[in-house]
Amino acid sequence: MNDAPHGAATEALLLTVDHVELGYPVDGELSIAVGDASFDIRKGEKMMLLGPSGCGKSTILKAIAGFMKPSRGTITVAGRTKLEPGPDRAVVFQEFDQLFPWRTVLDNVAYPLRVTGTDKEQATEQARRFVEMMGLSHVTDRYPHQLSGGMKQRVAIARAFALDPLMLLMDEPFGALDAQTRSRLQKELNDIAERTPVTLLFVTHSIQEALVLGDRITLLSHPPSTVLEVVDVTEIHDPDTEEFIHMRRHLRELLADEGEDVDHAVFE
Amino acid sequence: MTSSWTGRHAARVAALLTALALAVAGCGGDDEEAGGGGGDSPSGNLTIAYQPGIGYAQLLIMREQKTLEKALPNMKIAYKELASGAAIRDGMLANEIQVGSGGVGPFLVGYDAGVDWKVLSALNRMDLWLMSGKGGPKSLEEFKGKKIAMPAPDSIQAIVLRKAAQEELGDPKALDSAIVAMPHPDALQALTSGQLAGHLTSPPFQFQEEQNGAEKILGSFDYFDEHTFNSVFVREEYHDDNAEVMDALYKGIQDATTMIQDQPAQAAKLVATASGTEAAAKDFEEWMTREGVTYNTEPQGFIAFAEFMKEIGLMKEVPESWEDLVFDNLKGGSGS
Amino acid sequence: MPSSSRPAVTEPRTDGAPAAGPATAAESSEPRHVKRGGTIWSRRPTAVRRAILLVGLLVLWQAYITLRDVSPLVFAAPLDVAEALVDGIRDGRLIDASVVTLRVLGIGMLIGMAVAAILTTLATWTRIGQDILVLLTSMLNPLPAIAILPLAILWFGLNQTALVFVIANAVTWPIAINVSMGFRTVPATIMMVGRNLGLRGVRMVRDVLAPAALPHTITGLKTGWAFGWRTIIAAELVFGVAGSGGGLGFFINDARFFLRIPEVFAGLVTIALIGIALESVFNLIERRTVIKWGMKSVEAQD
Repeated sequence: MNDAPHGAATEALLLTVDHVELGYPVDGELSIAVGDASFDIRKGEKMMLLGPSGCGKSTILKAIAGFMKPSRGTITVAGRTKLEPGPDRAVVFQEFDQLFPWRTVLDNVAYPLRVTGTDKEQATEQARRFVEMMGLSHVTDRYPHQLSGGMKQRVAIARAFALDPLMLLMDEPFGALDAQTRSRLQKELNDIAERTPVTLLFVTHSIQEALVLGDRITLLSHPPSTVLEVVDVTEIHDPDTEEFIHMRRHLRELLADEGEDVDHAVFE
Repeated sequence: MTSSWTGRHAARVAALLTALALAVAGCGGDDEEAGGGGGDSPSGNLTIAYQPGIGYAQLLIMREQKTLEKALPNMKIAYKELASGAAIRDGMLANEIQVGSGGVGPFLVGYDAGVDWKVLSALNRMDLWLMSGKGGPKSLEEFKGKKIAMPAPDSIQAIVLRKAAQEELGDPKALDSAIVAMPHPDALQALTSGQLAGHLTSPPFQFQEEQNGAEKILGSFDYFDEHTFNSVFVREEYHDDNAEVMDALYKGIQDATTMIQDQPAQAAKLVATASGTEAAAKDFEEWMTREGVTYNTEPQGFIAFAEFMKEIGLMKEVPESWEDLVFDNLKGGSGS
Repeated sequence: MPSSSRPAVTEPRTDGAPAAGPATAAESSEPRHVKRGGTIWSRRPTAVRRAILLVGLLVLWQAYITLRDVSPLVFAAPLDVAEALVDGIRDGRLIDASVVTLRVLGIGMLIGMAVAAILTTLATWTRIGQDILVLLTSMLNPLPAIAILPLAILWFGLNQTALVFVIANAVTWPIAINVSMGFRTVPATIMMVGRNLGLRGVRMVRDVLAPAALPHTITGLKTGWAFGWRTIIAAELVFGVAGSGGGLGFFINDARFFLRIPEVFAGLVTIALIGIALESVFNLIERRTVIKWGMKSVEAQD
């Protein structure tokens, strides 16, 4: 089940997280969320970060995005270790209010392109393509407050994809949606990833979601967290198959050991 | 939720409107305190208003000597100092002030606008000077674009300035935009500290400014022959209802005037105390006896002012005779 | 934050069919059942209700004057006021006075906006900027601007500069406080999105902070202008320059000195009307921006 880590992989390594420690200042001290995490992501793969609440999976994503610096260890992205926030690691957040309310749907996707150097006409054209890709052509001139939650997240995803980033960072983007919308968007994301090669880091607390979407899953322990296991689930996508159910049970057990309440509705 | 225009609703609205109408009918229009009739000494409130300066000397003397308090023991006498003739006029219209005083300007403006008042007694004739601050303009022409202070836009000083502008510069409105309304004491300070170019004022302020280095540019007597500066005026209704009070008032003014003429030192002492400024009684005596300052009770120059004011549009009509402007006690005497 | 707290539509439609737009927002603030009922009065449109009340007030006013035989030197009747208004507009005096007042207010507001913009931007970037902003606003905002008029006259002389100074002071602090609040309450997610796109410094302020803070900014401008308007009229009353060059405050004062009472009222009416007009301009701006963008809820009045 465990993958052979770093070294002689045939695909290039886009991201390396090497013995990283991450914490938040609380009352003058550092409250450690991530104790010692090491994993890597290959170009073109969909890596899921899975773990109990508080294990620092969002924190790791923020550090990779450049919003935080590790107190120990290094994060390397395409050879660089000094990480400022930038569009090469486009982020899709969980909150609905990640869109600019004063811009239309189309402009929310086009503006980032203009900011990162694309000229106006091309930016608009490209934006239209990605908006269409997410099935939102009929609402290009709407404002975010006129959209449902699912549509807002679609726009955010379109924006991220349009930037053509080195890697996509998604922080539980479907967490605030209802079950039906969530599974629909998961399917759509899979379809897109099939057509457009993308390197993805996806944070989730749902085993189901991790198995449906991921190529590999990095499993984190409770805080101060370390990496428990990295499993390859490339072949496992269909929830009705034996392998799926088997793997889900395995992951459940691992997480139960970490003290997570197995009956918690979240871990379906 | 589904209430319609039912009787209950209508009754409530009607009650509200009635209350409103009653309130509206009930308020406004204080009845003045009329003086008592008959043999008893009159009672009630009497408020007398004046402005800063020695132009109201008689009133200040009466205040110090408690002249009216002795003559009218049952009345509550109050003296008030206000900044302008218009303020006094408004107080009289509101029935808060019964006896007002001020320059010819505000009196005529009020009279023309329909205020039912007349002159009970003139107080003095004074040459009003336009003072220029140290190193300031030397002629009227040079004041263009600068600032000249005077108590109010309708004050006698404002009219004098316009008359001077007409005579010297050919256009009465030539210096209109230079006029700034400021009470005398404030303007005195501003002129001395260099914030103002000019101050068209009255004694003693012009004398004080002269002491501080200001220069006299012109005087009102250059344009209006030895005219009255201030008078005391009363609304007709109050005058007619309170004959005893009016007699006492006029007598008091006459007596005070006599004192100023015959015993200036003593008069000055009283005025100095009453006016509460730092200047010494000696200074007051000097100011009150200077050339260009006379105290008497006969009104002079009212018609001349009215004619000019009509010319520049500040009045609609000129009274036929000066006697239309005064009460009976002054008629038949000298005046203009 | 504002946009996500509005439950726009539910999701059942896969094709993401059009969500209900803000067209229903205004009505949806009233519970539906009340729209069926209500009294004869409440069912009339707002403009009609207000017009009727206004006319009623004018009639009462005129009646009081006529029936109680109030002296015209104390209180003017509506018809006389209307006449004075028309005369004042026709001979231009009222227009000139309004222009003078508005110009001083305008200059003061521009200065106020500029100073507020600088202070708030610096406060966003540096700690000391924030400290300075807090210090200045807490000291100077509570001070009624009219109170510094004597000082202003002392420093700048008896001219328009003193007036502009006073107005700028009245206007700056409310604007700064509101804009600063707006900057501080920009959702953290939006800030992170901005940083994620590589935005920094002036660009971040211009493209993210400023639009995000727009609801607060407009509130600040409304408050600031209201203070400024009241202050300029008061200052003009005190300031008193005769002849041409006086504003509305002076117009009223002058009318009062010469007992032209209907003119006093006409001046007051003009002041009120201009106030209402400018207020509407701000409301229009609000409708075209922050309300259109769902960043501010439509108020439940009309």
